[in-house]
Amino acid sequence: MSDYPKKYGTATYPVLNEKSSHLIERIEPILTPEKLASRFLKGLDLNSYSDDELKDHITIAMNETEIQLGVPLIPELKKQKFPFDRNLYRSFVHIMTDFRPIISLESFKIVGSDGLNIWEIPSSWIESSRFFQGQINVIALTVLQTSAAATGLGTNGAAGLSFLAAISGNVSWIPAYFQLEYITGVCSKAGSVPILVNQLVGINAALEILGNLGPQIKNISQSVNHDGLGQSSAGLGARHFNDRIQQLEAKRDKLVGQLRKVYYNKYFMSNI
Amino acid sequence: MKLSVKFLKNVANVNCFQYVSHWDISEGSENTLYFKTIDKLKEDIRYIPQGTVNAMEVTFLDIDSDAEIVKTATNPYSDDLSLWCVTLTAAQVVNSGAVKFKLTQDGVETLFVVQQAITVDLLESGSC
Repeated sequence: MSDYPKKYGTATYPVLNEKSSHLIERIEPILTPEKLASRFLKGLDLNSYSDDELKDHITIAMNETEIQLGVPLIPELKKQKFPFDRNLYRSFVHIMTDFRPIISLESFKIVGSDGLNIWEIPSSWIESSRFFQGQINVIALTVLQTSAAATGLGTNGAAGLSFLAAISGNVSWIPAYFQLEYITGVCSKAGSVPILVNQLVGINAALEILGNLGPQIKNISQSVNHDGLGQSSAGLGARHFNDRIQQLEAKRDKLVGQLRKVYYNKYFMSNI
Repeated sequence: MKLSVKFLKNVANVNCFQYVSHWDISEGSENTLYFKTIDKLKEDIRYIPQGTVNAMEVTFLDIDSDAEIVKTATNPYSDDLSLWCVTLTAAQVVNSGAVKFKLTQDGVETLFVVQQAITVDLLESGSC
């Protein structure tokens, strides 16, 4: 009966893309030290950094980015339990996962507290078109049929009736009723990420590096005088990269908002 | 001893090669990847396996363990056993990111992972 994993078949980025001409690049491998230097730190003296140290900064930046976006950068298998909520159940088991986008749903079961597998929801019932926003619905439309042969649909009719029968019960809330296993990540191709995500990783890494490089510039001003002749020069010293840091911080905040908007809804509430 | 590797390119012989920060390959092509074992606790000097029988296994990681690609590395030059290489066929598409290494010296295994070890340029990069 089970034919997991369940996918919608569209891309995780750009969302709902079923096919691309690939004429422009939107996906690339995770940021490398060379790309970090050429995109964000061009012209700076990075001799004090080894490749391993730059990789370390990229690793830290990737972890920061995951927290900022609330999206894993590489595919991860999540296992999560959801309560039985009568109202949501009547809304075709409306479930919003904590992590998104969903690349594929690996299993959807009713599991006892001791881990006993009570029943697996047939994947043919699962509506997957809003997987990119973490939304899962169970639409047991096949309960309407009585003969699989007549309709060409699945054979889950009887089970579907039992499933929906729970609606007429008196139970309104059961904690940890459904157990889902799903793969989530910003890109279905492991090890690659959208270029804009790499941009955010690079900004996070560059902010840290520029913050370290600034205080190394100790010379704020100097002047040399001799027999009435003088020469002086002045610089920003430790504040040398402040403008660039502010630029990057503003860009980072904007990018986080733009990228989160792809996978998360914004709700505006008012009591006017 | 804390083993790691340095990645190499343009390897001509034991004295002629270039260090790189990672392997950089394109999807869909056959690639021979060279690396050199080093000891991180000894100023990154080369590490020559000490066993009579040595073997190196390289695992290209994936969330699906069935999709992981495990390759046995060979020593291309008998003069320097710290140099190794693995060959990926065009059909073996690996993921960018970390790579796991397992060195076996007379049955004693040493495992280590190198982060950001490989980048793979995709042939189709318009969506994922």
